[in-house]
Amino acid sequence: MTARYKVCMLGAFAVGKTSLVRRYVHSIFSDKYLTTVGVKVEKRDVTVGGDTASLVLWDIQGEDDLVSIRESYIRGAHGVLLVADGTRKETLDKALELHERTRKLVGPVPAVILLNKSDLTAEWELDDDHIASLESEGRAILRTSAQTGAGVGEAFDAIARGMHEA
Amino acid sequence: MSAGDTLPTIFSDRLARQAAAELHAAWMLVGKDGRIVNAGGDLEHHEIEDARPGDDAADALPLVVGLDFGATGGELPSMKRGGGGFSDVKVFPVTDGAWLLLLDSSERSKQLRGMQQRAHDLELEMRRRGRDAQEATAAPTLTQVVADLGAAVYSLQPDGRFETVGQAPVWLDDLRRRAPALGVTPDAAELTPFLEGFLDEAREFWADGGGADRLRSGPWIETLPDGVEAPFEATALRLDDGSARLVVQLLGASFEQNRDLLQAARSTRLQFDALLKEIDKKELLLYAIVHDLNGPLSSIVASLSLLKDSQLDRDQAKDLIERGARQANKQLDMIKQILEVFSSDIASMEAFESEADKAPEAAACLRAAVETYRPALQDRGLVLDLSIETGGTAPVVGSPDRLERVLGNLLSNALRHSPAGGTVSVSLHDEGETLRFVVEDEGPGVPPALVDDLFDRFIQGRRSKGLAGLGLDFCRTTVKAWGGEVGYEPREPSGSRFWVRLPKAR
Repeated sequence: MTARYKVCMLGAFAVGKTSLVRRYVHSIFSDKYLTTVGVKVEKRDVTVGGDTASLVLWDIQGEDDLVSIRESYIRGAHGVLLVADGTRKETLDKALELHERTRKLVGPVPAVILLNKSDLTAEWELDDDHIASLESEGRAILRTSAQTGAGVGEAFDAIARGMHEA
Repeated sequence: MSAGDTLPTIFSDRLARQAAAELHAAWMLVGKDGRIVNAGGDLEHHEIEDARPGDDAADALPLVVGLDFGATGGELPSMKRGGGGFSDVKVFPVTDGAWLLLLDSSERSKQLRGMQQRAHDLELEMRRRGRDAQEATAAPTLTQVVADLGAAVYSLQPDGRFETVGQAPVWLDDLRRRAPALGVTPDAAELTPFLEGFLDEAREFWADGGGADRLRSGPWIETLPDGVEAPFEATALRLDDGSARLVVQLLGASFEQNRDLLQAARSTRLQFDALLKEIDKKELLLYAIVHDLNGPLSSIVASLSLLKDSQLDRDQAKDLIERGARQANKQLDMIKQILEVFSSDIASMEAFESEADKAPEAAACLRAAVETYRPALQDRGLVLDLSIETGGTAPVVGSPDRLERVLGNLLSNALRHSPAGGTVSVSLHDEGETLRFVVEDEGPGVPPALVDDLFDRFIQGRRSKGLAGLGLDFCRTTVKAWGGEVGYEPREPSGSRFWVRLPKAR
């Protein structure tokens, strides 16, 4: 029987969660920002550890002072992708905060932090030392670009592997 | 006026483009005697291919010719053709008659007919519902009212199955294709992943008994089979009699309005944040400029103050004037550098030469830059080692004055960071398709922490006091615009090696 894994995409608004899912599932990208309200669920089958699994990707609305994420969206998650925008350093703090809330809600499920928009190197705000210190705490961190596709497949493969091995 | 296959210029450009694009435009000039003067375009599409100059226009278009459109003209929309299509006929009066423009309107007419049919069907449906309501002997229940509002309502049965309550809304057909069991037994087959998750929660809510009377899922988006994304929300209700209902709603205009508002708020926030960052950069720049200009100015003021001292002999006075002049020139250089950086985006788009007979000669530019800095290098007691390995004329893509400025910036860097008595090596290498300029010094080199961002604006300012940190940014912007690249690497055993690679002019 094909395993089904619920993966929640979490992060601040406009960090590129929807773009990452669209890039991964449909291989398309648009630089037009269209905010997500609620949640949109997409699926993609993957091969992980020699087995076929179905990733059910919950693209959840970004959180800010206007909108909070409903806990019901996160319940039952087998893994989380925490997305930050590398050109807005405050979004990494939001990703880390959401990680803590997720842990309390669903336990220590596999999580990968994605530093998205890696193509925008001139506007990059995240400090390498800070990233290194987060990695030294055992956090999985990858750089992605939904625009170029760089690191996107690797990111979803990483979370799939994590959930499969959990 | 003559007929032909191009649209007569009597019609506006916009109209001409529209017609020519896809509407199978045809036209006809009809004289005051009702005879065709000229006709052209896709006459066949409008089934008037037999129209010839001199023919009676009424034979071709009996419904149009003879009508009085006055001085301003008019239109007969959606005239049905014999073959089933539709044409719009626009009439433009002229002195000797009128132009008739025919445009295909079959698709629009089809849509209009579809809309009329749907409006008719809706009216019938409303009348039917009205009759049903009148015929109903009992007052409608809450769930029936909700169903009548366009929501799908299900009643949870003791065996865990769901039964549809009331009339199913039209959109449910689309959702059913996505969630085959919905409307029958949502737990008997695969649902949409979202509803599946929500029903787990809803069952816990119904089983719980106390507390709130409803549990809302929050909005979710489904992509329907036709590719349209539609927002839904589900609500689990616990009624007063203890029975359970599941309500699924297609969210309408209010959802769209909320999303638009949120979108606007967030876009504004992003713009605001970007603006703040831009202001920060400008403030930093302002600080750097003021700081950089202040140093030489202080020296100039000090020199002038000393000059007021009448005890100075001629040589002392001359020395002070020269010192002041040097500082003034330094300040002038800084101002030029700042202006260059801020115009570099524009400058990068300015003309540069890429043809061999007009392009700057690489060795000549390098020599010119070296000569500019030679006195300063000698003042510091530095040895200059110049090596040109191009063997003959080597034109390179770029403009001579800006290339000299780029190379001058690298030399200026080497001058600042070289220890007294050190050697500054300048060389030009032929790499086949490209030429490589290299400037090396024996200074301390660039700290590793700064290497990645070395060519960014203000970075050099962190490395050296009294500099805005704009020179390397200018080098990068300019060289990149010419299709070249610029880089840095540490020099062994110590020092810096800056290089510029530019394509050869052809």
